[in-house]
Parts: sequence; C-alpha cells; structure tokens
Amino acid sequence: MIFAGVTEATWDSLVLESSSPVLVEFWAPWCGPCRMIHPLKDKLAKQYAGKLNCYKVNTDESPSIATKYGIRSIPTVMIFKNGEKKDAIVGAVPESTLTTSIEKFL
Amino acid sequence: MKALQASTSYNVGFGISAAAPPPRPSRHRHVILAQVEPTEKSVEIMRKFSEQYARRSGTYFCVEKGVTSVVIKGLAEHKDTLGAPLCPCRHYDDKYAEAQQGFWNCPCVPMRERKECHCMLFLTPDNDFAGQEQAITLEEIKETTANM
Repeated sequence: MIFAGVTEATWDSLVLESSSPVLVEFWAPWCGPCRMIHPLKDKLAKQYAGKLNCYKVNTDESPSIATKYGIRSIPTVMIFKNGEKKDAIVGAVPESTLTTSIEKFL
Repeated sequence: MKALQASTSYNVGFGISAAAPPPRPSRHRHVILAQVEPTEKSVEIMRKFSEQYARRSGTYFCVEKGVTSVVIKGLAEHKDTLGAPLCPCRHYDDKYAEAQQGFWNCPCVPMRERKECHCMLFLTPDNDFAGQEQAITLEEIKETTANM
C-alpha cells in the first residue's frame, strides 16, 4: 500500500469528511528528511489498514492547504479526526513517535 | 526587463534584476515531471558549498547520503528559480519574498547561530543520523537521486 496523494480538490472529501481518523504527511519533492520517513509511513499505513486513512500532500502542488494549516517545517505529519486537526508531528521522527500519536486517536 | 519577463513566470513583476535567475534550460521543457531537475552548474555550486560549510561548521552529512543529495538538489533548484538557495524543507506562503528576505537562505539563521539544520544537510556529531563524511561527489548525488 502506498500513500495516496490528496489535493485541494479532494481535501474535504478525503480528509475532513472521513469517518476514520486520517494521517496526512506534508512533503516536498526536494526535502531530504521526507525521504527518510516515506518508508516508515508506508509501513504504518499497512499496519493500521482499515482503521486509519493515510494521505500525503505535496506542498508545492497544494500550497493553499499547507498555508491554511500553518505548515512551516517539512516533513510535518498531521492527524485529523472528525474534520479537526488533532496532532502535528514535525520532522523526521522515529516510528514510536508516530505510533504513540496514532494510538491516541483510534 | 523584456528578457526577464520572458524567462520564467515567477519573475513577472518582481523587479529584482540583480538576483534574477537564468531561464530554465530548454531541454527540460518537453519533459512532464512533478519537479524540474536543477541545472548541473547549480548542483555543483551547492555541492561545493555544502562540503565547505560542513568543514567550517564542524558538522557532518547524513549517514543516508540520499538525504544529502536531495537537499543539495533542492537548494540548486531554488538557486535556479529564485536566485537564492532557499531551504527546500519548509513551506513558504511566498517563496520569492522569502528568498529576498534571506532568513531561510542556506546556511539559514538557525544554522549559523545554533547549528540547527532541520533539513539534515549539516548534522552535529551527536546527531543519531550523522555520518563520518564531509564530502560528497557529483556521482554520488546522481546515483542516490536516480530513482526519484
């Protein structure tokens, strides 16, 4: 399973109106640390399949979403539930940091 | 200003002829990609800068040289398009204004003041991801970014 991309056009339906919690990775093509956590998040997407929806946002292609949610450092991972932002994790963090956050919202 | 306007859409109305980036190489124009490859000249400039600055600041490249390579290419791409090596690991509301302002141009203020590089280009020796090297070749950069 790979992370599907979400854009301005699909943001509301895929993220805000999702019945399951949603994990969103904000990334950019030339961001080095983003490359380090891509495989980690692919693994998490598999691990939480059916319980958590996982998407990624290319901040160069969808700048208005990144601006709306105050993204500064990339990568930033956000968790949404019931249309609300619940948590934000900045930088290339260890797997345990992400799982701890995910578990809180399942 | 006619030539400036003709170079890239980013320049229109910006009025910064001194820092104006060169036009993008025409060889890329027919390629449809999510991202444009930076010019080899800018990659080489940023590669050399990175080696020199790592030595000068006593920092090291990431054990995973792919991270280093991607960041160097990102800096080069910003140098091509913005005229300055703006940090590629941040989101900006206005990249062009930010490049002019300079705070996040590499080496950014947090790096110069506190050796903080969240892009993981320059890592202090105590960082878990710090490698042993302060050198990277153009070949390494090409190899580790070939599958992007």
